Amino acid sequence: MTNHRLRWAVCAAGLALASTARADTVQASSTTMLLGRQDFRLPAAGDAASTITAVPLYEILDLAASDLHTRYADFEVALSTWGSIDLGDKRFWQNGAQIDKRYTGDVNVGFIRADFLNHDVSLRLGRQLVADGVARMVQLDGVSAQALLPANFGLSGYAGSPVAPRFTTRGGQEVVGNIAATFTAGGRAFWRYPGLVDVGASIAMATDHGDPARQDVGVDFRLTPHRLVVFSGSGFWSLYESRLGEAAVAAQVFPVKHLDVTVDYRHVEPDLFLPRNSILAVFAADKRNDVGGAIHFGGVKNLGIDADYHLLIEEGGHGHWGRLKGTYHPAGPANTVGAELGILRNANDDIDNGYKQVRLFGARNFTSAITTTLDLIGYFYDRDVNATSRSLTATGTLAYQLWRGWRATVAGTVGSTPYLEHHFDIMAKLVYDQTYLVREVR
Amino acid sequence: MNALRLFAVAALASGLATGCKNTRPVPSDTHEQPRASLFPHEKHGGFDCVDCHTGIPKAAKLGESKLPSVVKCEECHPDIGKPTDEATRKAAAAAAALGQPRSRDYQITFNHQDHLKRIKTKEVNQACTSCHKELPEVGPARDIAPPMQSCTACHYHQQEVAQAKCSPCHVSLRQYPLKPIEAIASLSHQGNWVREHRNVAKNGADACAQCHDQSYCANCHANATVPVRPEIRFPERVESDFIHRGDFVSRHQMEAAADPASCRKCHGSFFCDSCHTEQNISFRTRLNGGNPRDPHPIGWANDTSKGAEFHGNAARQNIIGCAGCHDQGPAAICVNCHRVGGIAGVNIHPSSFLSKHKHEDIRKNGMCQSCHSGP
Repeated sequence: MTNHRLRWAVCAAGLALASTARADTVQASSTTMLLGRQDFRLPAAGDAASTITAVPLYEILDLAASDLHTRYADFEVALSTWGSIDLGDKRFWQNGAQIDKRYTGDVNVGFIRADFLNHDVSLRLGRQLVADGVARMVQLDGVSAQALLPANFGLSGYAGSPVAPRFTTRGGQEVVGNIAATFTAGGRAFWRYPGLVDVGASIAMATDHGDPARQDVGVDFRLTPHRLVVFSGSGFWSLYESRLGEAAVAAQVFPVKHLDVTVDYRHVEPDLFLPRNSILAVFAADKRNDVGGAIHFGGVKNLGIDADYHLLIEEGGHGHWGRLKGTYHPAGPANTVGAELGILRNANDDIDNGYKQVRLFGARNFTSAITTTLDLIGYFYDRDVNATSRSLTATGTLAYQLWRGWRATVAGTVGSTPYLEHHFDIMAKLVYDQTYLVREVR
Repeated sequence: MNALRLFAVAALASGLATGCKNTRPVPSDTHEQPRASLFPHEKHGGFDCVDCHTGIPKAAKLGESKLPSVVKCEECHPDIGKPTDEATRKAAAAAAALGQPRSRDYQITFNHQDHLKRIKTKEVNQACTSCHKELPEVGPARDIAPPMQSCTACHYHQQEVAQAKCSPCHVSLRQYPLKPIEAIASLSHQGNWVREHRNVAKNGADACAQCHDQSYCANCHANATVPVRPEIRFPERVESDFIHRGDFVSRHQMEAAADPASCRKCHGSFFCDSCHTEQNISFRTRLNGGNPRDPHPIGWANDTSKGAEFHGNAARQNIIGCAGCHDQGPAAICVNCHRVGGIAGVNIHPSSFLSKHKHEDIRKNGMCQSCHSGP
């Protein structure tokens, strides 16, 4: 059978399957979104800067049909896709996608999953995300599978081609996603003692037009000695470089009611996140460490406090990254006010800038149908960015719950930033979220 | 190929549309609904449950055993078929309703047969009431479904709960508006969840899938294809800890310097370089025939006394930063000077690289030959 015929056969099988099976749960979401904003382009040497008014219109569609029961297997079908058209000027930049048209679109997720043998074996075919082990949340067109084996062992694996935006050329020098490769494959073997231990060993390989891009093996674990204590960790070793790429451990505990404490440490060698066929992969072997933690306290009625801090340890010195956030719901969850303070001081602060952040936000439900929000954010830079010392933005939204499942939202942002002296964005959004059940569920 | 793709999308859409026939929308607050009954259980307290629910002791699945029919009622109430007063009319209606139960599909896996065998009680009714604390009665609807505590009273599911392993007892939880549960570590989304959730996903993606489907993950992680970043799509979510909230463009180089690996976990070099090219600060601008501005300080290229402001030192400390503009393979600016025989005249490989790679490895990776053009 030729490849062409095989593809048609797969499509026909998908059509037949989706048409005949009944999904107990069908979730549908449609978002129609109109944005209006200024895009800026900084000048080339000797030229003047320019701005355009971009007015893209998006239609985003998510469909998921789960619990499709057939005699031989249970199926799930998922599709997340979108299209857009530029009603104003053509946008300068679209997340790295090389577009020279006013209209474009893409598929985020589109797969069929089948569960066999009482869900002990599952197979997923199509565009999907893979998170297991050292897969690094790769978005690929391909296949993944998982099998639960006796004695709490299990295997998972995947193979496919990392996704390129707008179905363009894969691999090479113009990769937008996190795996610069034309082909990637990997898998994870794991063992679980339910409720206590989950340990896994994984491998991830990738090639870019035949050249090695990734050759990593990794381990991960999750230990839950008590329902209020979790230890977790993971790391990977580059087979190609024979070096440790990343190792991270964390402990999460609830020492008292309403207090959640996480302490973590991470060692990372950032150059190993470059593909091994990058010209830059041969220049550096930088080592970094960070240690810190986070807390969440919810012991005061209607008040939540989050704080996190990490000490950044590099060969050139120490840096600091911290945040403190308080969220209060006066008179219940319908109203929200919050404040956030943040700081980033880089370890090499003689060349790397830093900032201090102040943020105030709030939300209020005036009736069951109307919600407004306000978000004020200020960043104050340690050194000027484009001859400007701060960035101030204010975003307001007004949302109205229309008839069942429909919601309309308008949002506006104004501000003054290092790259736009006066900055205006608007957004209008019509959302339809609904879950359909074929049969009554009890 | 385009026709094929269109066909595949159309196939999925038509299949889903067909699958949606006779569907009904479900309110977002779906839960087990309180129920009323036309049958007065209290008045029939003298009987054993299985006297009427005869199929329950052998029922392996929920819904497998039908409710008793009017024939069962007629064993004691022979007049129920010919009601003469209001009370009998109501009883007749109740009996008729019993015979026409609504078709339900259950979201809990439960085997009555197995459980009744294992519950050792003197009276059979005690076995039933160990889970069914309340029974439906005539009058206002009441929440009569056995609570989850009925299960966990015997099945010590702390381990599964701690790991958020909800299946196979729960068939699916996706229709329930579950929220993170603070008291259970594996279900908690507290603290710096944006940073920590990766540890959960690496060895517990199936736990995530109990509540989140891949479309949800794709909003952030399908970075090669998403139309806009989530901060733009959901500006009303002011409580969410989005990574790129606000004016990220102005501060991105600071956060990239603090944790360059974090950027690379989602974005490839061209994601950065394509924007830098557009903004006329990338070497690619020159490759495309443009005239880029130089973002580097004076002396960056060759003044080794400038410390961190000398490009060699900066590259050793943060090569990911270089990749944002200079990852063009053989065409990269680095090759001009650093190729074998180039004007830099120094071996730029760090010692850790030299100790791992032999000269023969040059032939195994096409990129090496950009600088090592000889045999």
